[in-house]
Amino acid sequence: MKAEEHLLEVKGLRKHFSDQKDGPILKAVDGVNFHVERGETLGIVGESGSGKSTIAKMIMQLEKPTEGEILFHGKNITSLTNAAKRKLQIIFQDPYGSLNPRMKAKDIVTEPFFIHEKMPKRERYEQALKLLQEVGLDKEHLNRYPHQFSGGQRQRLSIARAIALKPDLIVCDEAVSALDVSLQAQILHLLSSLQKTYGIAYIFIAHGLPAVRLISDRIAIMYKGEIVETGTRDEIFENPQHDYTKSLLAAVPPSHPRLREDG
Amino acid sequence: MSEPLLSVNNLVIQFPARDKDKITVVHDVSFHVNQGEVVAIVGESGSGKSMTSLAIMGLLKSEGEVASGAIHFQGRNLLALPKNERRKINGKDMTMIFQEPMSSLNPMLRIKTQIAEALKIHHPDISKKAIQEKSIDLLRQVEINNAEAVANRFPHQLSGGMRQRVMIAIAIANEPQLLIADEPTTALDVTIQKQILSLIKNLNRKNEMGVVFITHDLSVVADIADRVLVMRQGKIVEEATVFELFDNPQHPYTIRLLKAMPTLETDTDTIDSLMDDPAQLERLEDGPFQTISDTHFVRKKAGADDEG
Repeated sequence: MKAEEHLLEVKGLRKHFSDQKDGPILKAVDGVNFHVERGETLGIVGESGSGKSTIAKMIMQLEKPTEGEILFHGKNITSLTNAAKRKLQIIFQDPYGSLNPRMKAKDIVTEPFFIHEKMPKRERYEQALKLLQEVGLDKEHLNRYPHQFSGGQRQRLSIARAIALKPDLIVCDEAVSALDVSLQAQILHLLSSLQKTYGIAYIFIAHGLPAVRLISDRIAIMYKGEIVETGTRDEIFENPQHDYTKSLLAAVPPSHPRLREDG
Repeated sequence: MSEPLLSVNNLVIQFPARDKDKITVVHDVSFHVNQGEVVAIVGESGSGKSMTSLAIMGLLKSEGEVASGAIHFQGRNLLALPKNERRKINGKDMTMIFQEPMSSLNPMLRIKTQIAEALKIHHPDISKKAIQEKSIDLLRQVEINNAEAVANRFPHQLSGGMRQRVMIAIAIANEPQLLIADEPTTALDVTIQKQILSLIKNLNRKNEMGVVFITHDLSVVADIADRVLVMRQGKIVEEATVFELFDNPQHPYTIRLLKAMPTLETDTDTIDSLMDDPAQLERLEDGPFQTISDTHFVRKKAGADDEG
């Protein structure tokens, strides 16, 4: 198979951390392979410390892999031009941490343009409004600062920024984990409708299986730095193979008191 | 029927605002908890569920205050108790655990020192040997296997799940009658959450301990609660047994929460139906309490049926 066939391909990826020279080595990510196709959602599920966020960081080049390579459109991410890099975006769990508190919404969502191309002020304003509307915000939000938004709205704002440059792939690192359930549902809905409109692919990283199930086409289960099982959504949920996948599924609380384990 | 362990009557909590009017964050909340019962309070951020529990513990920050209402615990009016009497109850008969154990544990002290502190405050005469034995026993009760080793560690040397267990061990050190658990599993991984929930269930059964369990996650409610209070914007909008709530939810907000609950059975299409329709939010307005059954009450406008 030719590498170009995948939107993103991760091969033999490793990230080892070590406190001191010759100290104990923490194998955060230990030999991971996967790929993402155009317009699909790959869910990556694992518990804290399983290495899923380290993978996200390596894809975004915020961490350098110890070993292995990441290909985006068939090219190694370290050799990407700026034009190619803009097609790769990320959304974090806590929008507070990733939105500049001293910038207004309109500047936050259009900053990517500013970095990646020159744009007249007027057009920038129009673009900002368009982006906000795309994520369910409106004119009145243009001049607000991040702290003037609710948690759900802030996450919408970071989604608006992520889609500004019409990316091919957005890495969503625990993007809904901090939100109330009804807000989670709304953000998931927003992500999936943006996917339908623009054909964006997602890597949806989460520790909550129900949310991953709602949005993913395929799912990879991570445990201690390795992917222990990959499958389509139905394969993972209907017919899990690995013991760890089974124990994760068994730990999901019941949807009705009738389904309690202890009756 | 014997007197409930805890009863909260017409509780109103207010915060001062910049203008003259105070902001009411909890409106006229009444409920009770019987001995050995698990009562869940469900609601989203800002619904007033944590404020209610902090008021019960007497832990409201100086700005917030109970404007009116009564809180009775074991027949005593907590709001009328002098501070020193109050302190004898907190940590002994009534205790609380929080979402983030790291912020409740002292990072500078070994686990054993922190458990000993909880024991000594309420039993000044307890011997060193008794403290040591009791501490190890408590750590075993919360299913920590290598109790002796863990007792000697500092909080940062433990995982999140272990820290929450230590918190629970401290909370139950003096065999409380009532445990208030404020989102104790929200920050934990699902497999750890499952263990902590079953631990709380076991303690509840074994010690006949009443539990107020605060959460925004209805699937956790389905797992642990006997009765449920649904809070929205500082008011209880529905109260029911856990089965009544899941089988026959009445308030449009409860119905919405149940629909939004991500489960392994949810149909992918249902998330499409959850987008906020302002007209529907209007209908969430509540009215006076209506009685559905002896144990099921809902605040609803008259004739506002068949929604959601």
